[in-house]
Amino acid sequence: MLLEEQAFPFEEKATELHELNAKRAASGVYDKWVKSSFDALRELRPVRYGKTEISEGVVDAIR
Amino acid sequence: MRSASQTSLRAAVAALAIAAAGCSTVSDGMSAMKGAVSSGGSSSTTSSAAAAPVRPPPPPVYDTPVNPATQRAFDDASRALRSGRVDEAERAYRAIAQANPELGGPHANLGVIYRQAGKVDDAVRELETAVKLSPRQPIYLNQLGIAYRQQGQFAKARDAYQRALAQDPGYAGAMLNLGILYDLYLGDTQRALEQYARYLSLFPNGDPTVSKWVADLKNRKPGPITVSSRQEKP
Repeated sequence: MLLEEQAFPFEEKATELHELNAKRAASGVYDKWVKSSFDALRELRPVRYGKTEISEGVVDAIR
Repeated sequence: MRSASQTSLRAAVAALAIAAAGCSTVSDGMSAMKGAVSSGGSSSTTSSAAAAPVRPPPPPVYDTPVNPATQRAFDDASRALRSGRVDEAERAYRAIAQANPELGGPHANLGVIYRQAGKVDDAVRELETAVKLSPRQPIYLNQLGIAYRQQGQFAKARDAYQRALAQDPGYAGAMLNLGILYDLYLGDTQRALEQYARYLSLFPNGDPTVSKWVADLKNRKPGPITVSSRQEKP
């Protein structure tokens, strides 16, 4: 068995655990551990978690 | 090959540590692992949905014009910010805010500067001031929503985006940001899909990134937590 194949279950487990942790945000928990899980998930599952808000770089409206 | 396996193992250990760190039933014995996780890199690969052109919302109408000299100073500061001269822009916005306490724009831009510098609490303070001064300005509300989200105040972020959309129902940025909030942070798949659909309806040629998000969301297995109405702690 290739090493990648052996590694796959660990990646899956890591993703699963990070997702479990990230879901705590929905119950109002957003500590550094939850943030770390979101950071990890952005790399592990970019389509699902690599979403960034649209932000104006400069606000032109003076009031 | 070996490194791929080792990376995966490290990722699994890191995940265990992070998940355990947040769990009140885990003993202090995890502290060594926590340290390893927190010092690990947190760079991110992000999908930007901003590839599609996004129309800025129309400004609210005011009866009295802004003093031309003040407007010029504000525009100069904005040019400085756009050119990456952040310190200069910050000083200018601060001076304008001091001389014109009725204007929200300088505070809004200070909020943007602080948020981008990772000073989220300062950003929230400035953006709250901006919104207090101009409660009908959707751009300030959108910016405040982003800052609240980064702060973990998700209910407030949702309210800010909804207020932005109440002022301008076609504001694509606030629409998408609300979708992301429901999707990732409030665990409300249905509302996320509604927002993404609204956003996509604004772009006749589509937005491949957001379309991918929608497909992924629809294929997602239902999670155990779907809380969207809970009030966060301040």
